[in-house]
Amino acid sequence: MEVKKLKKFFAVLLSTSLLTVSLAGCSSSSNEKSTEGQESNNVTEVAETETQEQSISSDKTYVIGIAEAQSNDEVTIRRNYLENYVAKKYNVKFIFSEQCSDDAATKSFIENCIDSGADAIIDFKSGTAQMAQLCKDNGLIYTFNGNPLGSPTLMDTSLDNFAGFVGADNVQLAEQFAKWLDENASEDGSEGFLVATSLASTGNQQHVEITRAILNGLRSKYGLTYEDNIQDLIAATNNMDAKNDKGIQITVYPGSPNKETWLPGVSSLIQSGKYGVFMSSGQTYNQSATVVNEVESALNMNIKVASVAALGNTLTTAFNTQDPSGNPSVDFVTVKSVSISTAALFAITYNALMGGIEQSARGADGMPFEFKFAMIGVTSPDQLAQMEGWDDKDTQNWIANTNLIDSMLVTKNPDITTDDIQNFLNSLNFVTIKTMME
Amino acid sequence: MEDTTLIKDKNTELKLNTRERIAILRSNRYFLLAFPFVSLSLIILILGIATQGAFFKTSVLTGVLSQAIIIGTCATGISFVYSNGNLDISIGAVLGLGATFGVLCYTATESVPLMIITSILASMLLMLFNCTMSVVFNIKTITVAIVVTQIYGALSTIFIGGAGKIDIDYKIAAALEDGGFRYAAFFIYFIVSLVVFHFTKVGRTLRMLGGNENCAKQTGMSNSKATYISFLMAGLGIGVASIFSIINVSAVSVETGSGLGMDVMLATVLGGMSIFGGSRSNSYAGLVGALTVAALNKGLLMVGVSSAMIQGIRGVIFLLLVYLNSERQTLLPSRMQF
Repeated sequence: MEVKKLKKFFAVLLSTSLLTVSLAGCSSSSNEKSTEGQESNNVTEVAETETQEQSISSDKTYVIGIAEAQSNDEVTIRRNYLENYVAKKYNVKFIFSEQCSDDAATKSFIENCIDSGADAIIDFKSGTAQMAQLCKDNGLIYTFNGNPLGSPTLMDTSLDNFAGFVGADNVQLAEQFAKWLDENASEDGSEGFLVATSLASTGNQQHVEITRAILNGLRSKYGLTYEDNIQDLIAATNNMDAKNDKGIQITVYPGSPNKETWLPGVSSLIQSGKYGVFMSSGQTYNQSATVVNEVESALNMNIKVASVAALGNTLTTAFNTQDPSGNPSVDFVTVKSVSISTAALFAITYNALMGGIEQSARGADGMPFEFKFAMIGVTSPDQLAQMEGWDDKDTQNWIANTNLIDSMLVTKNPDITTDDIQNFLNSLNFVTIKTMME
Repeated sequence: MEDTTLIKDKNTELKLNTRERIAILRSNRYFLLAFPFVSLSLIILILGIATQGAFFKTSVLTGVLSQAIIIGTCATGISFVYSNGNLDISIGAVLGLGATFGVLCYTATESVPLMIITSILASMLLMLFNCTMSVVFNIKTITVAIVVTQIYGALSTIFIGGAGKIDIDYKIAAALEDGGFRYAAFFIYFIVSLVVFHFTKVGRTLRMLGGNENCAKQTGMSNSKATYISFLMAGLGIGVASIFSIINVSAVSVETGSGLGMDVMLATVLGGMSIFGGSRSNSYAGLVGALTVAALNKGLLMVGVSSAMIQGIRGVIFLLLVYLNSERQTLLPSRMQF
């Protein structure tokens, strides 16, 4: 009898929850239009300080689908930026995907967006001609966060709905890693180097470039010769020692940090005590922080950590948390401004929606253009402190505010060209952004 | 006087409250049969109303079927394995490796028929290997599945190579997708499975073995033979699904099939069948479950619900369906559900 009562209780509870959640979901959606223009207190405060800023409000409310590949800090910040800032300033509506685990999931999301009346897709996951073609067949603009090396099928002039690539300048990014390594590694390399190659083995260009820069950096610093080809080390799908004539301990560790096997694998290597420098081509500093601290305490050593990162609370905490040797728990990161990369994607998509693909998204050769933005190297808590408050979702203090976005839009700059947009992105570095944010 | 009391008691017994009426309804032998279909129809109806009829468009409903077809095909095949009490979660890895062999064959020959045959044969052989490991060495199918998932995944990674993906010409894939090949292949396989499962001795044997293995053995049924047939039917389904997977994204990658094992289990449970088999197993539950999931994903997005909310609503609906599906007559000999 008690069991039956319990079952009844849960049935009622579930039904009520379902009803409540459904209504809440629908109402939040339907309220969007009715409350358009209204903002949270924080947003309102920011809006008041931006009265001089330009903004655009198209007659039509464009709907843009965002296909996300991951579920992390960066995605949360991006979503907040688009939903709470860009959507309201530019009269657009965004549909966000769950984490797309594979191309099939991306395709399903795009199909669902088409049925939901979307006008464009910004894809952070797949980047294939099939996705672009699917969008083309249904009259949608398609933009990809990546580069032509990783998605060569998109370099097809028949895909006239493809607005282009936006991605980090991988060469510049890799150079920063190599420079840091040159300045921070010991003279004899006796500390040992662990290189997490992340998705380099599966062709992720950013990870490939960083891994190559690190291995080349080590080669030139110590004048060593690897027994294996660097390309083979990059493509390694299992742990592999990069054996060399100087006997320096260098190990490459491949694998997606999102997989549950990544941390146990890298932990066992770090726990061996053979590595004084841990460099990662992915965003992993927060995942490895605990094991690095434990090993530093247990073995009384300092492990220097270099990684990719996004601006946010996680990074601030990492730089302001001291490890047992008195250093920050992360020593070097290259950060990207989520708002700048997202604004670039939004701007070229918006331009395409306004009919400006040929003018502002094609190279001199008429092929789809690869827009690149620079990443910022951060080496100290002081430097990070100067960046405090940038891209803060709580205060809506975005680097890419409406002034910055407007600088890339054909609607505000009728004569703007592809090169103009790229030149503008090139001009954004730590110094210029700092000036802008002051 | 005694007669009057008796009549009064009988009248009292006939006065049933709502809870008792629902309990009787849920104990009805046809309830489980109808419930998944009613749930799916209700979900479609609600979503249709919420989207002001947009959800009823042919293109949208075809899209739902299209998105459910891979999981539905796998679930139809794997229902043979589930029905006699076996579990196999290596479906995703088998599909991934089968698709890899198919794409490699296409790359070498540029022949679509050879790609199809290779994928199907490879998937069937892989499932046959799983079955042999279980039957010959007397290892539980789930244990075999856990081990081979790692092996097949590693093989896929090796064969696919450093790029992590092998593309085929998307125009070929689009032609197969638009030409009706997928729906024809799916419906043929589905109908064959339905007939074999419900109208042949093989199907009855599998269900009997799943319901009570000892009893089935004592009546002369061979578990080994039935298990082999069930894995071959599953292999055929996974092979067909691997072709769908290639067509769907015009490629095979190291991610192909990831998480499919769990998706198929979820679809089966939502469709009203126990993954532990038994006499009430059926071959269509997985398809109904897959359609339910696809309809919810598409419909809720069309209504304007955010992705985070979709996950929450979907979870609540799944729990509700599983709870209602889990109610069983206690007097009949059958395996416990869920």
